[in-house]
Amino acid sequence: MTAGGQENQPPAIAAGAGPRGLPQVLRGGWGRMPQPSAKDIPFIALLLGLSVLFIYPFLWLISASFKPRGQTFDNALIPHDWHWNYTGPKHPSPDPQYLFNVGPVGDWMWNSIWISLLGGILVTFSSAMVAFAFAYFRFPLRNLLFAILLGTLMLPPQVTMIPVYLLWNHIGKFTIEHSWLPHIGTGTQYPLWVPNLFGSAFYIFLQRQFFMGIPRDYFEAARMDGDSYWTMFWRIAVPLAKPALIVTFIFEVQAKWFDLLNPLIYLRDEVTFTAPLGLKTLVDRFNATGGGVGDFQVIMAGTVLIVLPMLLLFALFQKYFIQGISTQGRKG
Amino acid sequence: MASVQAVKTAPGPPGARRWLSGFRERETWVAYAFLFPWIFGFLVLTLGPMLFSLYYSFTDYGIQQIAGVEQTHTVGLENYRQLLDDPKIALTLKNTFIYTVMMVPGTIVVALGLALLLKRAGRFAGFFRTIFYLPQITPPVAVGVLVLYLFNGQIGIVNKGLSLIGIQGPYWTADPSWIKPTLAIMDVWACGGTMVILLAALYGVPQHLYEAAAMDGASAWRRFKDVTLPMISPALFFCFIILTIAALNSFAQAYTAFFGTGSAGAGQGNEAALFYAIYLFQQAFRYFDMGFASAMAWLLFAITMVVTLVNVLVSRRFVFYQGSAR
Amino acid sequence: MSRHHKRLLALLVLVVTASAAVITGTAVAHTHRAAAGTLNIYGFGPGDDVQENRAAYAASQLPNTKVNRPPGDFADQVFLTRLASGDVPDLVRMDRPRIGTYAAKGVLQQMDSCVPADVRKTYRVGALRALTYAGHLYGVPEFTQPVTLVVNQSALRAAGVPLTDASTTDKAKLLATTRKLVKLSGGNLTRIGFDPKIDSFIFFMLWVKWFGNQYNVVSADGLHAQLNTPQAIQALTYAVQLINAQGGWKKFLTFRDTWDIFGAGNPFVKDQVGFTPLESFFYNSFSNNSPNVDIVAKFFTNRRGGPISVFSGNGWVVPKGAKNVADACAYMKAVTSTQAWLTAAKKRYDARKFTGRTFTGLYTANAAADQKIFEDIYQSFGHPQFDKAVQVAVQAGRYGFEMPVSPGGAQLVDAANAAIQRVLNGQQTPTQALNQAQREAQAAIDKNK
Repeated sequence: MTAGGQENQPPAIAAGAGPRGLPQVLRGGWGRMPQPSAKDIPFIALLLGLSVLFIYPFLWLISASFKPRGQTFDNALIPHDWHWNYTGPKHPSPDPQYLFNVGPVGDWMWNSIWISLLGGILVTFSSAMVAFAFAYFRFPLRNLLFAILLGTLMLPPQVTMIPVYLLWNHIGKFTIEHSWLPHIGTGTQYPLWVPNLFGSAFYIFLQRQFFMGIPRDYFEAARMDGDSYWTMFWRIAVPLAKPALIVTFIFEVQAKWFDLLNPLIYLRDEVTFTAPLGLKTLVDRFNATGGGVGDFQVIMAGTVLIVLPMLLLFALFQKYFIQGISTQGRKG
Repeated sequence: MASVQAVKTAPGPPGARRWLSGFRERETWVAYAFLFPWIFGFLVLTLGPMLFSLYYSFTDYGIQQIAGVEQTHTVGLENYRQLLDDPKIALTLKNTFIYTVMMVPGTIVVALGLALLLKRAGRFAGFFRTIFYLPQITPPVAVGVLVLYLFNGQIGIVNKGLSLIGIQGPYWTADPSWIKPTLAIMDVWACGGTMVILLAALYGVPQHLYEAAAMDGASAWRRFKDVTLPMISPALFFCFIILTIAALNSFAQAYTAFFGTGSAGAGQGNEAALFYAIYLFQQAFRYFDMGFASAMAWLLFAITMVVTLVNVLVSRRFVFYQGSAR
Repeated sequence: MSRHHKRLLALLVLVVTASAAVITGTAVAHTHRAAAGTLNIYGFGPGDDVQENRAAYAASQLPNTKVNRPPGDFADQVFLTRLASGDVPDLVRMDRPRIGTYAAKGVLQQMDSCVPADVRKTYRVGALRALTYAGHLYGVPEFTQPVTLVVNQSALRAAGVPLTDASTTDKAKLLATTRKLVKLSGGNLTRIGFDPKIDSFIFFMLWVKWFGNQYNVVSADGLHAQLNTPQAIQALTYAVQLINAQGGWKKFLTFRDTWDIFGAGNPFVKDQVGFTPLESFFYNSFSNNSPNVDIVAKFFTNRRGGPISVFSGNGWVVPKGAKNVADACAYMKAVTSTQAWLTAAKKRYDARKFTGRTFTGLYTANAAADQKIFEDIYQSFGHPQFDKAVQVAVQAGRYGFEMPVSPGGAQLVDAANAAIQRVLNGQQTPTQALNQAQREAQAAIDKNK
């Protein structure tokens, strides 16, 4: 992971430096389309041609989601007949189904939303605490612990997947046997976000770089004023490292929103499903190879529904997506 | 690891006694308080589970044991022997490697090409970068759905498009020899993250190197080969490792498109898309053969380590670190 | 917005999401707590009208019990994780081939005393046998769907094929008829002549039987896999030959994946198939979605011309660790009782009649119910093709068989399906593939028994 040799240099978006050090294209933002000059035109045409390849699947998907049953795969960019496939009166199959009638789709979306947000917030702050400790304090075993932290980045998640599952299983058994306890364990959503309380190696590493970019004088001055370590962390380090914290937050929201494996392992009741697992359930049910019920328009509508929030997040935080990604290569 | 050395620049008192005395300082305890979430998480969710996983890999731990019907028995190397015996292990490893070999270079080449175009695009780059990045934010389950329908051999738009230029496309999702290329193509489509990393690296190449090369009369290709490539090689190497690890663990796209709980015999899915991570998941959570699945996990760990080690050794020869003495 | 407000807002978001997490988590959790008078069912979520009306009937027989039926079909993974975590359902509905495996693993309860002889005799003998492992009965059967041939008559007419030729009796003739009925345009299939459905396990069983009357994919005691018998190899070889005569598997599968078989535009309406074996529940779907479709129902015949059929079906079992066995026992008998089936059938008939259609009977493991539904409820609605279909489907029940219970049942099905896939994909010959499946299935049987 640490092929660089420049770890001590804070990345360009570290505190104080701001995005000014980056070229416009890496600073994010939507970018404006200036008036092209004549010599640009063939080049722009090439880029536009490529853009079609990258955009078309989205257009196809959105279009397919507004086609009636039976026309889903006619590949027309503009649907011949527009059809709202999301909500509608409840009729039994074989009548065309509506997305929100075939499963607790509202629950799935809400579960994904709160698990992503909560997970994002928790991992941002738990990682920040740890990153701050590694960046600021000098203490015995620091180098060893940091080496271990980097080592865990290499660990395939499968190695711990089974025992962690069994651990949750034991917790679940225990809470079922002691009925005064809330039920925590497999079959609940706790395993999806509770691990975020304990920081994550990748984010700790990322944030430590930012914290190290904060001049030590700031902290020394605060100590002179008699501030506690917590105040130094909360009032100085965290606000100055805000860009890194936002990057952590949106990366984790994205990771949680993408995750299929963990919900698949831990969740059992349809109402507790997250959006990706819910969509996978619909694919299994309506796909030709999974029973062949043939309501493909429902799958298309569901796919649009799980893509859209990410597009929204990207639209709002594009700057941080791009900056966060582009600094990864440098620290690497 | 360079960054560990970097940490060493902190003045540390030599000698065991002074080292121990560090624990008497208040700052040490505060530091450990800050570290507590991670240390706790590491012990309970990483180190402990690793030890348990190692233990399980030598037992017959499965549904009977979890349900309390039977005792756990140690079975020696039986699970590891089964890794050799089970033809599906070889199959899944082969599938995973074929896919990795297509997906990693494909992604890097396309991402580098796009990054070079964006660098040249100058004023227009921001707009196109946004477009090229969009597939990266598409959830893998959605990508799996798109695989199924865009690439359907008969009605899919990909083959419709190909037929416009006179090519009869293959049966992407039905032909076992095209399933892995199809999945790799969708990954190349989502190369936006790699593209941005490489673009950042391209901007990091000092302009004066190009100017010097141009003065020597170097052609565009030579400038690319002798200046650009060496200068961005650390970023390329980083992408290479990250993508390789991602490919070895690939799960969600293939699982969505070709596996599932569908009742019509599709339960165990298409063997051409059976990646190692999917088979491991099936062994652990479909058949609840936790002992065997644990052995599989350790094999994956070993493979990841070997592949990364080889990458690092190879990189010693090819990766150029600016300002480093290596 | 000032910094202070922003921070307050962030805090508020945190608090709201955290409390939502806790509330949602505990709310869901509590529905699973075992309590006296609660029956937790798994694998029987909300379904079609027949399912709902039977569920309502069964619930009415247990007036003091709260019945939980969370949505979702049976999945091994979910079932096993529930057993593992102590969140054991009281009653489970699953496919019959899996029951042997779970019974052998010791995770199901023996239900001999729950089903006394007079109740037992209402169920079909073969279906009960599929729920009996090592001399003990593990539950009660639900559906038993016989397979019959469905013929697209207009396709036959257009291709000049007489109806008598749409038959599985003669090997060479079936191949020739298939070639006549298949339609290709521009390299793509537009009509499958004959779909042997070999990629689905129960049809594979049917073809094996077809090649040698005595053979099943597993021995009668369930302890010996018979996946690589000469009959099985011949059956698979022949079925692949049928598919290859129609452009090969990739083309075939790609085309078939686009069918809307449960819709108004099903392949018989859209002329996408000549003839094919199908489970009997398809008649219900066709009569409702496309009452004017020009189909003919026939028996699937063996090579001497006699009718044969195969059953697919499911059953109800009680896992070890279930808290409410008494209610589970009562419920599973009630939901598969003659009265439950009759109630549901009558309601469906009334609903269909209202729209000028009919329903084509129910094909269950309760022979008495089937008989009564056919005699008392079913009525012609002026579409003779469905009257014929009902007659054929009802009679086919007499010629059906199903897989004997086996401790490796689920793995055997998996191994055979995978082997068939490998052959269809051209990766192995039938002999190689079935030899491998035989080894895998036998290993699973030996491990579980």
